[in-house]
Amino acid sequence: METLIAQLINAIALGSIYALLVIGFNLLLVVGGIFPFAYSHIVVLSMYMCWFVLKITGNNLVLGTVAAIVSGVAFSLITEPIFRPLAKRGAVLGSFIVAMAISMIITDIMSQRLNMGIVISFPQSLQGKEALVSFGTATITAGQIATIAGSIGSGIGFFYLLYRTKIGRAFRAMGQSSFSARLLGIPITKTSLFAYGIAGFLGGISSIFLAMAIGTASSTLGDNLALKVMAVAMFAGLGNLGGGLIAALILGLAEGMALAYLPGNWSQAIAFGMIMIVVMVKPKGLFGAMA
Amino acid sequence: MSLSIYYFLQLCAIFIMLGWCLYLVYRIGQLNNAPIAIMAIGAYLSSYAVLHWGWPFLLALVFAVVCGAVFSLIPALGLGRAPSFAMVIATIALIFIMQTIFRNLPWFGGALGLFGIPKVKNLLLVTYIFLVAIGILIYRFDHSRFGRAAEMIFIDRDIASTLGINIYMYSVILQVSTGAIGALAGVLYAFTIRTIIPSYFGFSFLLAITCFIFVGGYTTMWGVIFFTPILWGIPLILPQSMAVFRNLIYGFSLMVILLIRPEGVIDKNMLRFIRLKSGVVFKKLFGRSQKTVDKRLKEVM
Amino acid sequence: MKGLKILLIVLSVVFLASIACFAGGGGAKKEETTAPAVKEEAAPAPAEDAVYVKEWVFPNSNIITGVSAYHGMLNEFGANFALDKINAAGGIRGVPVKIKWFDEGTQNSALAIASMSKMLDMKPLLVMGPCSDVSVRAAVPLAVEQGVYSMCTMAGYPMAREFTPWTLTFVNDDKLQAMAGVRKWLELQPGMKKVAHFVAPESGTWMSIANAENEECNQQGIKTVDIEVPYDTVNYGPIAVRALGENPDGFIFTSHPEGIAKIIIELQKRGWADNKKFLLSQAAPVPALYEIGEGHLDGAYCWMWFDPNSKSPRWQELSKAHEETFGEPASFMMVWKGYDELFLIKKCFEDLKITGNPAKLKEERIAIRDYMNNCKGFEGIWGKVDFVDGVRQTPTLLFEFVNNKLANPIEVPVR
Repeated sequence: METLIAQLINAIALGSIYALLVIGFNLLLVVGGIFPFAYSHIVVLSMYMCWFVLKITGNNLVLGTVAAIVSGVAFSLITEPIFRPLAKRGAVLGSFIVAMAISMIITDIMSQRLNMGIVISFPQSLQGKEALVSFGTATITAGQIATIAGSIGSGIGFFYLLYRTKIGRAFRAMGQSSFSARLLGIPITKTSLFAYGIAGFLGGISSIFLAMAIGTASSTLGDNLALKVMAVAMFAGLGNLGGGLIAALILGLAEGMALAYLPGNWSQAIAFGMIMIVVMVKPKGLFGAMA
Repeated sequence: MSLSIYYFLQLCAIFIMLGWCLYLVYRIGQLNNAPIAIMAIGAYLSSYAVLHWGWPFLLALVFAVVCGAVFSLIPALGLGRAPSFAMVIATIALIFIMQTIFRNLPWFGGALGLFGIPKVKNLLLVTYIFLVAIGILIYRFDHSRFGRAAEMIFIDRDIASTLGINIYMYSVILQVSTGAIGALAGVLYAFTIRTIIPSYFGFSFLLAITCFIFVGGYTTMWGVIFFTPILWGIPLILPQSMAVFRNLIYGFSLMVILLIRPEGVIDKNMLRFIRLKSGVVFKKLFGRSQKTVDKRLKEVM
Repeated sequence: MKGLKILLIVLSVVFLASIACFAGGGGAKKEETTAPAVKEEAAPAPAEDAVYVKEWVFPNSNIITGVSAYHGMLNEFGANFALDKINAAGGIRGVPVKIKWFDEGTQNSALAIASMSKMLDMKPLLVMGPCSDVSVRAAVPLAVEQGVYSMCTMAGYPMAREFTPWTLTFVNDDKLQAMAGVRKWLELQPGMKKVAHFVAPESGTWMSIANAENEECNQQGIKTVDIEVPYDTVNYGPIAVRALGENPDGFIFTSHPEGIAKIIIELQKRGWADNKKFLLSQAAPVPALYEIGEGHLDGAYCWMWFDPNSKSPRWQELSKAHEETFGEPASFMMVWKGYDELFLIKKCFEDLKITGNPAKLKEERIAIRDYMNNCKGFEGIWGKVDFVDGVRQTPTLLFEFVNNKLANPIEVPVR
């Protein structure tokens, strides 16, 4: 029983990180009009930047956090002009290929230049690995609590932005129909830039939680995360923000349980098996797609 | 024949076949990555048949191709009607599922895969016979009413269906044929390299093939033919100091081409241009000169 | 229109050039003197033993691109360091040495074969590399067919042995080494009845080491339970929980290094207190292990086949150069293998009086093979070492972690 609780907590923490990533992913998909396959790679790059700053400043957590968020926003905004001509043409599949190319470039830079390609690890103080609450073999660490609380907080903040602010209304309008949005006088480019910025901001926050939860990063992490995030988004329905959250939690649970109880290396197969089945049975995703 | 030329030609042929697989289904606007997964099936099944059942090469080849076609029917039936994204992601998922299956099944050697695959005589000849045959088939497809129907589907699905084109049938048939070609490419790959590991048929290979076809041009079959040897061969002849940039070259060329010239380097206009100019050159070299034509006319008159 | 024309011409030239380059058989071959009988030196060297070439060029298949690129970077560093030293001392038999690097990619069989085919077209005396097990299996059969010796110094033992006698391995039989390490550990920590073993199912080399370790435990009457750690694991909590659920008395770690530290931390979080009951297999001590595991590793045991804190002067020199270039002292095994490889080649060529004469290529290749397979008394970077049947004879070293460093090595002879 205690083991089950321990696995559940692990799974929820993992799922909450995926949920944050999916929010950013769907935002870029709906408002940016592109398929942001390279989003997870930008998140991992932010983790690297955070690590560099921590190394230089001697583990100053505040500066590290700021570095992660700033680099998330910066890298996201850098990719905006690359995707702009594609978004204008409505070439979403083309943007997928371009995003794959960008991910290739980022992975290569990470494996050759950053820290010589060796795995980077984050200091213990950031990870919050001490058990805060423990009952038997089930423990909850400060890191896990921070992750879950932070994800919930960011999620709530984001939905507040989406439903209670003007820019959020602009996002939703663009998501429904960018043509009508233009007719209504919504500045497409500015809104798009803002969406990239917010997605980058969410990415920066996710990178800190990832650093807490995983504690290491390597060049292969980008690809792993990208495929899982894509799988979750597909599972829930592309562009469906609320459904994405639930799907992320489900994937986190499934992966955690598979890792705990199934032999061999079946965790990826589970995630992708789910995708294939959902896509074949309900191509618009379980909760319906907005895009 | 020098060893490196042999392997260069052999591997280029295999990659061209795979590029054509992606090209064929993209003719109707769907990016189907399943051929890479089916390639794994083809490679493993044929090697297993030859190594453990002692089958001759051609029998194993036919067996693997048939199995590949049958296996590709399963996702094809489900994905025929899927929106384009669903197909891309589902087929990427299929690649990973195949990798996991082959890595975990004990009969296929686990993570180390199969090795010691015997040599096949005249493999280069066999490969190029298949390459030319498939090329001719694709050419005939492109220039037939099926090719025109496919182009119509690419341009606008709704209009195509009003014209009576059954998109689902096209999708399924194309996916199954590319499954067969993919399995064939897998068999040839297995007998060229003579050792197969599950991690080879994965995401980075998919990225490389995607690069070849999108830089070359996805509207015609010639883009793949010209650009596969260039993109595969140039990193091999780069000086030592530049060899480290191989993946960056792939990524940047893909990005740049998609932004500047989205249809790829070789598109229909370029083909028309080449045909025109080569017609002029051919005429100059082998055609009758104006003097001869005048003389003949005079004789007749 | 004009732009298209130029583009077309450029493309055709490039396409033809790429074919032509392969027709040329690859890059720089060994430069040959114009007239074979010309004697340039005044020193009266016997004509048969005179070095035929102006420069020794050795092809080396290395991991240059891909996610394991740092293996190649370290290998290149070690080899270049040795290269500079050898050339500064006059080269091999008075002739300077050059290495031509080829890329085998990470787990990329096609690239490995393409590189090996180019290397073999150079008609080399021997081939350095390939590095990874996957590339060895794909590319070495080509070398064996042409009768060229491959110094697969970086590959694991089982893979290199598959192609005996045409390959060299710098690691002793890793099964025997693993068993020796486990034997000593069990001797020092008696009374265990059950051991949980963290294994990496994706790596063939590590699985064979893990199986050997299990065999040794079983021979001594200790039950073993395998817990698989997939390479892309993000969360180690469930794995630790599963292991503890088996109620073991000790743990052996034969999975990838970054995960080991995390698993140890998870185990300690759940109340495991006795570090002495941990045994880490070789390849575990990498910087990531020390960084993540700081403060958690002391008391644990680890078996290795070299001592990264060795006082050997040549190792200290290499380590210092490594620190100047990369910022930390050398700890990976790839660094010294490239170094020892070149010095072994130097010793071999000088003892055999290799000339590099194309007419004698076949016999010299066979001579090199026979020499390296059974070289006695080679001055390696750690001291004198023998090669028997293509295998470097090294004992196992069992270390203890003290103050987050490896210390107190105990030499355990491999039975």
